[in-house]
Amino acid sequence: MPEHRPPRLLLWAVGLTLVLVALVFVAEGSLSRRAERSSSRIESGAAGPTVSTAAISADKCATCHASATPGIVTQHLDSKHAKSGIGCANCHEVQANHPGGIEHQGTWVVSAPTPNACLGCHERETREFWRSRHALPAWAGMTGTDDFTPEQKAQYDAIEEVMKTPVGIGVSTRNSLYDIEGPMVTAAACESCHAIGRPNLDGSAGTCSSCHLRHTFSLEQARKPETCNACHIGPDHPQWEIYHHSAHGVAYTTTGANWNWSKAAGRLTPQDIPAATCQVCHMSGFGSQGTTHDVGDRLSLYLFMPMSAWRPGAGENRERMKGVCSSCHSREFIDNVYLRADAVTARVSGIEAEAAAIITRLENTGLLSKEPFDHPIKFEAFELWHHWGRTAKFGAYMFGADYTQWHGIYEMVKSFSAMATEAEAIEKEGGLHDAVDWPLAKRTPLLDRLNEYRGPGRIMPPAGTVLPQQKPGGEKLMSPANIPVHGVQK
Amino acid sequence: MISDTRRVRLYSLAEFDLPIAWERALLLLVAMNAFFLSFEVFLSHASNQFRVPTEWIPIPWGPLGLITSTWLALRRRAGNAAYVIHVLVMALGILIGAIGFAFHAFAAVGQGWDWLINSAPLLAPLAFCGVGLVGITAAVREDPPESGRFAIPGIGLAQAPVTRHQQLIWLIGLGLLLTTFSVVFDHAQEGGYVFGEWIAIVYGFFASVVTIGIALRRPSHVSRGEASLFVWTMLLGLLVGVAGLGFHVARDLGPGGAIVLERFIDYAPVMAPLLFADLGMLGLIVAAQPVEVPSERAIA
Repeated sequence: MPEHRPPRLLLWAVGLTLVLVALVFVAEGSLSRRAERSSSRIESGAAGPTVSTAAISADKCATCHASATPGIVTQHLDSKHAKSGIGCANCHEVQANHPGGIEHQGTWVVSAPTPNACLGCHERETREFWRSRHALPAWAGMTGTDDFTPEQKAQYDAIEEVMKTPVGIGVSTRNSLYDIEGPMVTAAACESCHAIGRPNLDGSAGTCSSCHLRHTFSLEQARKPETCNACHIGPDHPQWEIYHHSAHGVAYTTTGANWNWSKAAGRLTPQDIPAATCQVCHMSGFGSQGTTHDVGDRLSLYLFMPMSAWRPGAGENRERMKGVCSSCHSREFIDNVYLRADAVTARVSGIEAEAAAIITRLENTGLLSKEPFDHPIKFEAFELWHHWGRTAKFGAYMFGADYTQWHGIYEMVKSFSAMATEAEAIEKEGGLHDAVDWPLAKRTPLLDRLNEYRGPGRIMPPAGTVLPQQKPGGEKLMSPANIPVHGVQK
Repeated sequence: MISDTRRVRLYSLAEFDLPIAWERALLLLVAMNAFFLSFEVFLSHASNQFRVPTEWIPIPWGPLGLITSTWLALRRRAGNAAYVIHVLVMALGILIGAIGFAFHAFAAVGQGWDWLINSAPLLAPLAFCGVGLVGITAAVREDPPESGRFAIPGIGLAQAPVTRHQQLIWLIGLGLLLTTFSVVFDHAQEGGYVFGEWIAIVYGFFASVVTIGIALRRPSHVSRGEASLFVWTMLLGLLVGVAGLGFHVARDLGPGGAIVLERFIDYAPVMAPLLFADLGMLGLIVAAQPVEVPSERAIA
């Protein structure tokens, strides 16, 4: 072959390449549809007939339970678990001496597998969950830590962000509501949510199925904000209502049906979910952040507290949250949102400090007992922080202006006014009104008292404020007295 | 034993000296491949949290292959035992690849044709077979040249149907083809191909055809034009691999260039595109055949 001619191999290569590329081009649509169909089938629960038939025939539990509890079996067969060959026994079968185990059809099973069952395959997720407020702290928030085993108590104490020194009126006594209402009520009320962190008989903590509904364990379900709605709703933490009131929630409500909910973990981008959801901000791998099952990983303040304190590692946590926000928003916008919201938090903390001072003064002078919830003014004080204060703060960070204003601050001021009036009456009745000099009830107009906290240099953290990096157990309250100013903790 | 001949001939195109002996260069490439292959599998299986204990099987192989290949490559005179151990380790790699292929195939059962896109990558474990075969081929001597007659130090003689050069070219060609199919199926997960992915697909098929075309001929029968085409195709592979690395890194980075480890592992695997560069490098080394092979040192 003359050297100046292209070799025949080149012609073959070009020709075959064109043919192969053309085949891929033709198949591209089919392959893509197959990818979408496959993931949507897993997530929507519409399992293919191959999976169902194979799984039923292979799983001896499913053959009986297909008649006894067909709903559960259908859910399981529609799940990715079934598709991956995970059967009923993988989660339910236990050793004979397993706590809570029962003998069933020649083996031992538990009716409600604990996170220990999930740990084997989802170790990272389970351990992240265990170090979060969704685990033991959620249960302790309702009942305290008395029913923890020593091991669970140790696990609880090891959780970095457990608030070991809760501050504020009513915080230390909130568990008493659980006792006042009684187990007949709380089992159907408080526990349905707080059980996400319940201590289990096998020594583990919590229940994964609070968020990952059994038995489909659908990624799509766990990713949607409705999952959080199961608990984060109502006057004490109305995040669901606030979210729907926000622009993020409006985007979800109006366009969320078209978002790509089934994208694999760690691959989500604003192209898939173009507006924030609970999960995108707090858990999903998104923006500059990887996936986490520690719901406090990106939170910088204990907003649930009356006088909010910085969380351990507040600055780093906030940077992580900003790393999510920055997928859609400019740094300046994000900083301004935090600046305004922090100011609201400082303001709310100030009001709550005043309210706490009223109750403390009455208790210390013997006009009120130190028993929880034994006087109407204590209910007023409780609602002031537990309902209205939290609502105002959540609204500020979640773009829920109406909740910050009318369901938050306004209700706080109203409650505070009622408390001050009632405190004055109690003092008059006790003959102490003219003898004491506590800073609030002494005939000072309400607005004047509240405005003591309006000094711009005191409560407005300037742009570029460096947040404190707290160590566990060293919580510092966010109040007018210690708001960081120009990067310095007061 | 390993030849110390550094003089190589690039088909009929050129003749020059390599910085190190040809077989040592090949062994070092095998060492690097063994290590990074197991490392990449470690990352992939770690993202799966080693859900199945058998996912650990391929992990120790990389360091083993790295040690035996590097030992042979760097020792001035390695003993027969070192060759035997190396060949056994490389054979183990082939076995691991076959077992992995079977495990991935079983995982795909019941998924219809969806496994092509969404299941554990069926073709990926075959990379262990490829590295193992190259590792064995690098450690044996063909005597006389282009005879397909191999001497395995410490083990014995074997007659292959094709020459060593053709064996290696076949492995490169099949490696390119399988890599291209992986590109086609893996990128289909995103719902379609973008420009950069089409580059990889077009190059992959083109390079596969060119390489398999070369593999069908004895080295002495490869024309100057065909040799040029092959060398340029391999050089292009280096470029495509590095470009792919850039595309993958760009996709993995978060806003403002943030590094999210999870995305680097689960989203666009950074090392995957380098397979084209790796095969290109292997092709260039294989194309440069040693000129003199002293037969008196060939048999242990």
